[in-house]
Amino acid sequence: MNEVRAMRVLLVDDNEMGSELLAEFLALSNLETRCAATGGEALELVDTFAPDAVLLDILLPDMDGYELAKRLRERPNPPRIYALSGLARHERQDAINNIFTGWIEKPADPDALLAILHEAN
Amino acid sequence: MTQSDTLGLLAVKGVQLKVFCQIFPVLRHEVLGPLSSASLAAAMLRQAPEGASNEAVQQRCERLAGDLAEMLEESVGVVRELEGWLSDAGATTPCGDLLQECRKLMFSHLLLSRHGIRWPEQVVHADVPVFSTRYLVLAWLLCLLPMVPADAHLELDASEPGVWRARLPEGGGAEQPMAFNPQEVELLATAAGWRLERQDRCWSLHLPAASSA
Repeated sequence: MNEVRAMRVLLVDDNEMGSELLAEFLALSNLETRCAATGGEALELVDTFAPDAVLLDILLPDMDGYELAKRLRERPNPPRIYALSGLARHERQDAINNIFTGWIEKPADPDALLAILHEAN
Repeated sequence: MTQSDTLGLLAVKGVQLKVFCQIFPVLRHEVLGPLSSASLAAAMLRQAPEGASNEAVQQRCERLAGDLAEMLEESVGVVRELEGWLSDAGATTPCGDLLQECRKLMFSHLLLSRHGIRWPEQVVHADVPVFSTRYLVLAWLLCLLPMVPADAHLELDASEPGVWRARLPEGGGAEQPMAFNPQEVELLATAAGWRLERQDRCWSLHLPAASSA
């Protein structure tokens, strides 16, 4: 019998404590998670971890989240990409919104976040 | 204080407020970061991992409560620092640190603007007043960026003592409405004891003599 693989979520945020907490929260809901603190780390991890979804902060130390999302989208079988940001969605141009599967404003309700991830899976 | 002085001071405050509005999204992002983590920690305190022993649950609660306290403390620190945008406490900072902070503050403005800034790798050391210099540097950059051609970079040079230069690449011209006009940058520069020198493709900020010494 085939075992159903847990949904894999890559968290990209330079706030490591926040990222680890979110990873723990998602793991309790049986999601498999990895954390990356920079865009570079995320690009390295995405090949080996093959996430179903990526939650990324827009303000990263080495590249902006938009640039990272574009580079993730260029890969074969790209994951769903959600911006998780303190920047409000309305402040961004349409072009930036279109590159993300969704835009989640911080602070995100953890249960709503889970629902978004499961809904799209 | 004469009426002219009062009006001059008001004009400076007005330009500073315009700068503040431009970088507000990044400041809000900074405030929300630790609060977002704190709200997650609070939600997790209500969860109990299945099958965990009482001792493990207790340890987890203590750890999360510690994380929560740390993140709330961080939030308080970030909110308190906002005061530094409204009143001048007289603090100074090394030029390199100030430019690094401005780099972060310009983030949301640059996002998808099709313009970039090449920040200087080498910055000659000098201590500058945080309050007035931060506003001045941001106004300087925000005024210049619309003159940068699409997909090109404004290049900053702080490698010479006493002067910071911003070089515009060839081509372009104003493609977008300018958020600031050069007189507003000059106003902030003069009020803070700096001098703005405008050439065709290069705008230089000359540090106050006390800072560049």
